[in-house]
Amino acid sequence: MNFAGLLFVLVAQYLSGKGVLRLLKVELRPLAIFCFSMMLGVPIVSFAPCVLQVLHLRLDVMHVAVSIVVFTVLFSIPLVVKFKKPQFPKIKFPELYEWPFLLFIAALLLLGIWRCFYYPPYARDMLSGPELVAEYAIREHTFINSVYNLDLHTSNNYFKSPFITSLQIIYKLLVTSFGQTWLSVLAVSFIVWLYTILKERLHPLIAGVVMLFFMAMPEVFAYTYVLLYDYSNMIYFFAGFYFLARYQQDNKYPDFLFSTLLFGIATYVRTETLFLVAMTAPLQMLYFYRQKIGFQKMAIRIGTFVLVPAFFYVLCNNVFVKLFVPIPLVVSDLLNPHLADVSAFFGRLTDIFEKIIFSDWGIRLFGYFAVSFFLLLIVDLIMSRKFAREAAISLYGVGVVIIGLALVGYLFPLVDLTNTTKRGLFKMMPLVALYMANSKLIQTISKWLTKWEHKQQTASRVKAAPVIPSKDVKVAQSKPVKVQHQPNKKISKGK
Amino acid sequence: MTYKKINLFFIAVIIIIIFCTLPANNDWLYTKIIDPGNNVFDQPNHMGIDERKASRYGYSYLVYLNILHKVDNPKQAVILLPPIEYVKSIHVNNFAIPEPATFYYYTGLEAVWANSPHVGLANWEVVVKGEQQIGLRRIPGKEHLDSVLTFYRKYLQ
Repeated sequence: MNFAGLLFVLVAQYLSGKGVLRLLKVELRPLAIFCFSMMLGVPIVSFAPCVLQVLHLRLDVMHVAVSIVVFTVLFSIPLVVKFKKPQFPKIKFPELYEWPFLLFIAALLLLGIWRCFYYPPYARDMLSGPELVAEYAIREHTFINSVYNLDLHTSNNYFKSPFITSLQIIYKLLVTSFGQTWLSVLAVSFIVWLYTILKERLHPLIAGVVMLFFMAMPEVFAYTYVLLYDYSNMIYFFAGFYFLARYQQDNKYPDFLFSTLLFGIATYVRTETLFLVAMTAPLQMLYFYRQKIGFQKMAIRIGTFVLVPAFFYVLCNNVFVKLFVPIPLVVSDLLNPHLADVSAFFGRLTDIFEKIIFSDWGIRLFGYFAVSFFLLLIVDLIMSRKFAREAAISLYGVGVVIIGLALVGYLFPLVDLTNTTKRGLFKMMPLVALYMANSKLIQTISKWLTKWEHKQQTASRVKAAPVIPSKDVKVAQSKPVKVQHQPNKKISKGK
Repeated sequence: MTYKKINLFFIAVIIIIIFCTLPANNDWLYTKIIDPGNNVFDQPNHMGIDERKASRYGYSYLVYLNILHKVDNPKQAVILLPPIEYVKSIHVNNFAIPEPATFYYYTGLEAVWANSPHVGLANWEVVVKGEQQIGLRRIPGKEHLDSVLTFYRKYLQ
């Protein structure tokens, strides 16, 4: 492990990510800013080897390091132009009762980091695609390498986004021989951020429980150290939804722009995400319609919302894949030839529920998290049919993921249920966590718990009042005296 | 106040204990997290690149490495891999037949399947006869290759 290289890449990612946040004027809490800077920096830096390839430069340590420096400098410009004196907020330590959850989650994360570092990439889709191309790109200093002389008729994985290939090149050259530790950077930043989201909405004990069940989804946790596209895709897709919800609550335009960018990055990671983004557009339209912002403005904003992810789609498939893969990609060949038969769509939709979510296999994949969500939804529907806006948007997101994946499976028969669709369902899990944070039932329990804890605090204060030391009483009494004397002071000044 | 926090602390501990005893969680924690076969505390003693690859990819990877060491001219070698169905039919379960692309990743050697477009270029073949009977043989000529391909064809899906 090259620690200097790791530090270099991490600093570059942090500065690039923070530069984008500053450019878009996204307002977040300090911890969330740090997490997001890291999460944004990863895809930004991944463009460096792509640019080198477009410029026909060698992919070696020097060129890659210099290109990362150039990217970092460019993306740091907003940090210099809009310079703000760094603020160091008071560190608030977690409550005593948060520690069991935090330690459990930290232990899982540490295990994930270790396995990510220790083991080589494993997934078949990687070894016959991005990882293979990255390995030979390093040996032969170009994306277009001897891999394409092989018999590739058994795989189409080399047509996938250069996101992982580029990051593997960077991390293999500068950090460690198996690369992939960038996945830990993403996973840790995301988990910390998700926990802060839950804690903002729930009593820390309840937030800890939700987080515990989220972390304990065996399949999702495994992909914090098994290299594949789906975990990264889940992060950016969820972040897009989160900022969309924030925009619809606070009506701050930077949140809208940031959400659009995040959906764009999600599309860059997995191009079929464009379908899901398009399905999200009606939610935005409805919001603009209710806001009565005018047709022209609405058209521009909806256009931005769809065109930014579409730009990333074109960049991926029509620029990078076209330039880096010497085999033509014909998307129409992958399309379902029997589109008139829509039973495939409904069949896939049924399979998602029957074979994945509500099955023994589903429990082994997602623990009790997905099933608990549907139970909770039923209870919420019985308790009250009114949902908080964030909860409603989360539910819309869950719907988009499930219906969207069924649609993608219907359009492209290669998208199988047991691999692609199953992993595609990762995207709904953080949305489920966000829903849980806004659920009527959980909110009621959380508020009761907070009130109970607060009541205790108040009661103890009341009880403690008669025994306040005389020194403190003097301080307390001195305040009104000061106020009383202030007008007199003013008068004396006037004299 | 402090007592309440301590109470909540114990509630948190109890929740985690209950969580760990739920069947699916318990199974996951034991088989995938604690995972006695992949002891995290023992792994720092095995930091070699090939050791780590072997522990991840298993026995098959060691066979691939053996194949690599036996080929005398790796740049010219094109290895014919037997069909997966054939290997299954003779009940060899611990040796996986990789795709040509994956084989190239493991070894740097070009490989073909019996149904690959350039199968005619094969000059070495992986011979699998049983669990521990896996070998590499040079293909002496086109006639031999044709007879092997004819034999394998019935296992191609």
